[in-house]
Amino acid sequence: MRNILKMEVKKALGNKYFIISLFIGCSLSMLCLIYNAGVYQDYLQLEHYVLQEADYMINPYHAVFTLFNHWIGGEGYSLGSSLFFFIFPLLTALPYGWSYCEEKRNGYARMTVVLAGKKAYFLSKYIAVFFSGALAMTIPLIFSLLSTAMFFPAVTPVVLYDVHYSVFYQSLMSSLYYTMPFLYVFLYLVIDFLFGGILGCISLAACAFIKYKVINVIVPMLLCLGIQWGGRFLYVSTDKAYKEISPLLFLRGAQTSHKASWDVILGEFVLFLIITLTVTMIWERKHEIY
Amino acid sequence: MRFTKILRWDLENGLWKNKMITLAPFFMILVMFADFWNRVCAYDRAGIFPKSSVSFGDFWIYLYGGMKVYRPQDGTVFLFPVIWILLLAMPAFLTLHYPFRDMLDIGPQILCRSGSRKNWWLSKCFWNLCCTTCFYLIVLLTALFLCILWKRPLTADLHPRVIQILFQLTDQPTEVSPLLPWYTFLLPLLISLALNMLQMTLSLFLKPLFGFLCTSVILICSAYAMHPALLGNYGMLLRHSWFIKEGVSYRLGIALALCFIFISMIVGLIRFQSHDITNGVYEL
Repeated sequence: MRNILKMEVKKALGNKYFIISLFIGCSLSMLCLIYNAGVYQDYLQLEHYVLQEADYMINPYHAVFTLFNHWIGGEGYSLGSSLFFFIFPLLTALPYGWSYCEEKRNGYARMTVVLAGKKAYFLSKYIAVFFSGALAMTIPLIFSLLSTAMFFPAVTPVVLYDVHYSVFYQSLMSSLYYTMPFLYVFLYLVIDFLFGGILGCISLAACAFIKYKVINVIVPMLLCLGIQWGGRFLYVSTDKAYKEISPLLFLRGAQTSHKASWDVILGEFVLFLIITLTVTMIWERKHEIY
Repeated sequence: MRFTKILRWDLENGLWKNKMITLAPFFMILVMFADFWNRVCAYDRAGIFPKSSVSFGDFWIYLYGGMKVYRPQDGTVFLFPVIWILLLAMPAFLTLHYPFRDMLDIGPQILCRSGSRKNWWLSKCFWNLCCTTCFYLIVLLTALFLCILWKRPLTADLHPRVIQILFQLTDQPTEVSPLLPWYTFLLPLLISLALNMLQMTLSLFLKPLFGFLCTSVILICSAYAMHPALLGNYGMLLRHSWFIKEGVSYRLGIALALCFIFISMIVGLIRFQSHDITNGVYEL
């Protein structure tokens, strides 16, 4: 088990698609940073002009320009952030979600099962796909956080400016955001890590039913779009406060449409976990692969 | 082997036997109409507008309206138009796989027998155009059928109040023509055709998955920024010049879409002349 797990993880994290996925994710982080740094630069120039030349005072709004609302996971205004949180299901499935499909087709799976056993093979495959997807999601986010920290001060957000942060009273972990923002960011990274992993595993589970790699990789994205579309049936009234059900929206640290909630996030994660584990570890393990 | 024979084969295997191309738009429009009607009834109950005023034109703009122009400086977070994205991304997804599966499956034999790569590629292009048109026609016919079933007038009438509420516009559109212009039925199809052709050609250079990724990026960029060079804007009815003053021109949209279709076909043809088809498997 240990050997095959080591080998699968090595294959998952060492292939070119993992690198491509990271490259796309980090490029979008940079796109987000360029936009935000431009906005910040314009503001600093205005502030400089007012201080030096104008005969009036302005509120410096120092707490508005913080690291926590300008990294890719904490804002929803830039093109980079919008693109990242639309295509991330593809990025999580791209590194290794297709591997079982390929190994089933070329006979590699059969040979490995003979040597290592079905349980070890499927479990190690699941873990490798989970980690590759989780890292493909989290590394660009961490990259964005670190690169944004080079330009923006890590000022603790001030609740008076909540409209600039898109983190409101009823938002998920809002009390943490305004008191311990680094813990807030860390918890969001954990949520994103888990969802990145599980979305990659949806692609793995889809291999049980679909024999074409390219379709399997797109399945998580279509599923996320389907969930967001399904939300339209719930959010009918403009007066009620709903909970966000779409992973494309609740995985951001900033509230986009409706508030994120622990019960929906954990509920969806557990549901996906049960489905993917059942398909991979029970359905596919009991299925004839020879 | 003649071109017509290859095309017949493609239409039979890639369209006729591919039930998803006919079933997916049918079920999508069924669910979208259910959502649309659910909302209309809710607004009717709240006294915002009467459901008796809703026509086929309103449903059409609900499907292909897209979203209003996004301005980050307004302080609103970007939310992509999920229905519009689905209606354009789904035909792109459904036409993504078949040409490459066929190329590596029976393709080498057909190419040897026909002795012409040109016929094979042109046949795939026509197949792509046929599939996208078929998808679009099913969307249109299902929408018409549902409006008949729910006794909605089959007219292209527009009701500014309905559009304002459905798309959450701040102001009620006042200078909009009361009828949907003819090109609002043509442009979503042309844009979809152009995107799918572009995707098929890009897939030759990159890989099918990256071709789909490019289509997704174009769609999101189009929703994010209203720019004449971003093809998706012409497929969003709320971004046309008949709806907003600074909107995109339909003439330019039609010309651009036709250019994209033609150029994709030619570039793909040139690229396919030197494309390796003996590799056996395509990677993603």
